Amino acid sequence: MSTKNTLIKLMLREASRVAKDHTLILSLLFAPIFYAFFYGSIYINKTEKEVPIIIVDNDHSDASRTFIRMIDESQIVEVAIVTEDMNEAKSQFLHTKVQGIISIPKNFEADLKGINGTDVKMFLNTSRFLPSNDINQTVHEIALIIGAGVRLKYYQMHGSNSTQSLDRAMPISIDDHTLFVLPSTYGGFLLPGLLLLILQQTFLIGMTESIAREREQKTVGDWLKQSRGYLWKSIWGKSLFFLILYAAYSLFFHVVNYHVLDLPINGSISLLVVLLTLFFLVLALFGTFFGTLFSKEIWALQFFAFSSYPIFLASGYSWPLFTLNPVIQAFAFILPTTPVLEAYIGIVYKNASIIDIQYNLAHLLLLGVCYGGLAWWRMNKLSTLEIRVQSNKA
Amino acid sequence: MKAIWKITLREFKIIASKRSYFIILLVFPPILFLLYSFIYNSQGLKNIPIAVWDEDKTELSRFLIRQYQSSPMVTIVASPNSANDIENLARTNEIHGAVHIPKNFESNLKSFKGSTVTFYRNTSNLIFGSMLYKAFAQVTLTINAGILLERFKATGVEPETAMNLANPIRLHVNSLYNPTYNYQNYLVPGLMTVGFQMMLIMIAVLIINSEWENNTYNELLQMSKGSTMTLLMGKTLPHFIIGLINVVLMFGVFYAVFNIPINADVVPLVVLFSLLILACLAIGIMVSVIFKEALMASDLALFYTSPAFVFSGFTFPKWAMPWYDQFYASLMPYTPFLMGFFKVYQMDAGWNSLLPNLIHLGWFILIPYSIAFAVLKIKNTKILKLQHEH
Repeated sequence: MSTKNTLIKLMLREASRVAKDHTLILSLLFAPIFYAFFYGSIYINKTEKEVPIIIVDNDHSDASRTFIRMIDESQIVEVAIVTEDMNEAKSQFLHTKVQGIISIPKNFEADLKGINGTDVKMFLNTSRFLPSNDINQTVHEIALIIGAGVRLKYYQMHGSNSTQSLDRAMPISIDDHTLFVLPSTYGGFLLPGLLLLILQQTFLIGMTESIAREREQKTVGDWLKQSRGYLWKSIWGKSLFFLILYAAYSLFFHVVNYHVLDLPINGSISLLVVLLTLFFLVLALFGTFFGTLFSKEIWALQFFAFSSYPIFLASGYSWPLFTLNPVIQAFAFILPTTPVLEAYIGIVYKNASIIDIQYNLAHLLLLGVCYGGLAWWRMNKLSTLEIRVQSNKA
Repeated sequence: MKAIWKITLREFKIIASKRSYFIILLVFPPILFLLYSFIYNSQGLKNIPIAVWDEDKTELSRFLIRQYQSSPMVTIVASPNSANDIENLARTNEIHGAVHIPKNFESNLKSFKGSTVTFYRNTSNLIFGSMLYKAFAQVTLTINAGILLERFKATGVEPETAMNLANPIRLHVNSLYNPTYNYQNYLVPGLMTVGFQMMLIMIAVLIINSEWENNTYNELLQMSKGSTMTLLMGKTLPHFIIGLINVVLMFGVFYAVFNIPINADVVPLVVLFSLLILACLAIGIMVSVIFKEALMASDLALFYTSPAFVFSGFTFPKWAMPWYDQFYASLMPYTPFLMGFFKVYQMDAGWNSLLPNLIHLGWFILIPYSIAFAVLKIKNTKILKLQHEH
């Protein structure tokens, strides 16, 4: 039988095994689609809006009301309550009904008009980063605008025209420029990595469960028999089913999910195809190696269930790899996730060329060779064990 | 009571003898806790490579660059000559941000004209980009204030008035609970607890159905003397004790070794964790009673627990999610736990503030245990009836 026919036969065998196993159906057919839409929907608004704060207004002047209005009109912060009572503010804060307190002092307006300067206090709940950062940045920007306005008036009163006053009020202006055509939102940042991780983890859970099931149900002999003892054919025959399935998922994610979530693909599609193909090939070898380590399907599921967060966090996606502990960096190096995420973001967001991601591709290839060797070694061991069992039976 | 104790001892023996139970309950937690603590052990961002494109090349532009360089967060590694150069450097991750100082920067400022400094932010990593921007803005605004101050003083304005003009609104920020924005203190407690709840539920879904799979359920029923309540209590107790041991491990060892601060009293913390453990066990046992197949129950547990971290509102606030995701978040015990945990662990907010979260967690104990009890009671009655007939 030709290699092609053997591979197709093994692929069909795998498809039939998956169809008969409802847990594999759940992991391979339901989970990727469900997770992609389910997780994706959290960030559908992309950025947080209307972070609630409370303002203690001790001045009740036009200036304090303007200050409050400006904060409330910002997209990100919402003035949930305006009060005079600091105790009420504290209570709302401790019940986490609001994420910050701003206290406007008495004589706020008079001090601004009289160029005496005024002290505004802000209390932030920094136990979570995103809301506190957003409040901090918004209120600072508004305070700067009001400050520039005070100076503008001062210069105009002292004989400068409008343009001169504007230049003098703010000597150095800041232009915040986003590199590449990127969505500068939390959802935009997290979603591509999350989608790729969903593909990776469901692939690994499915593949390792399937291999562990071969051991659990003692069908390794049959698996090897179909490939006439050629280990590579066994590996790639089984993998072929997963590779075809995940090629379809990849296409679906990049067409449908990217469209629904309004995510851009700025780079070359053909390079993306090359990267994902290489990634799934390496993942198949990685999955084969780990799958052969488990003698029960449930153990494979349990192991990879707990691996998602550590793998994602160590990959350097959420926190730069070079700032992580060297032990974690070493752990990240042996994961296919690390080079693929960097290259993937490079292509979809930064329009990276093959030269830009050459080290990531080389890293993936190296991992492919290593896991290929390990997968072959484990399969060889299983094959030897199987031969021994068969000869004992005989 | 004696029957409960007997079942408890039997369950401890099962945990000790079953490899997967033992690994998940006693080996995985310290490994996961250690890994999470290690990931963010470097604590802060330091020496992030950035580029400076200085088109002015004057004394003032060099002064500005020196000020940027003095920030411990950044290190200047490249001097590009165009926006294109900056993009190319960022594309290969050689830099993570860049500053552009325009031509005539110094002369414009000296002749009282404004000048715009551009910060190129790489938003492919948002957290990173925001922190870099913050450091850049801080330096630029300080220099801005310095220039204004000097200008006002030069025109004969009193120093105090000059100061008030340079900075009319003095914003005093009190960053409470994690004032240094320490990433380890922020993320590690959440990661540890989410791993912990996952571990509890993943094992709890096997507590009852494994007895059916191993044909040992009748023996268990006999030990409970036919009492469903006794059976459930005896099965729950060892997992509750092991859960508490892991909590002690988390706080007593890992928080201490990695210097993660705790502002909480012990009692509310113990109450909160006890309720989380019971809630997770209740949900797991309910699934275990309903689904006879262990693998299927484990799959369901994985689907249910793995989104807990992102849905809880920990990294992305709940109020920014669509209503259906907020609804789903409220169906997981981790959500009220996390709200309560931060109130206790960082804010030391007191019982009054904690109460709504404790009540919410209480429902996760009451409802699943009631369902588990009812389903098991029906099954037990059938088994006992069959045994009686035989």
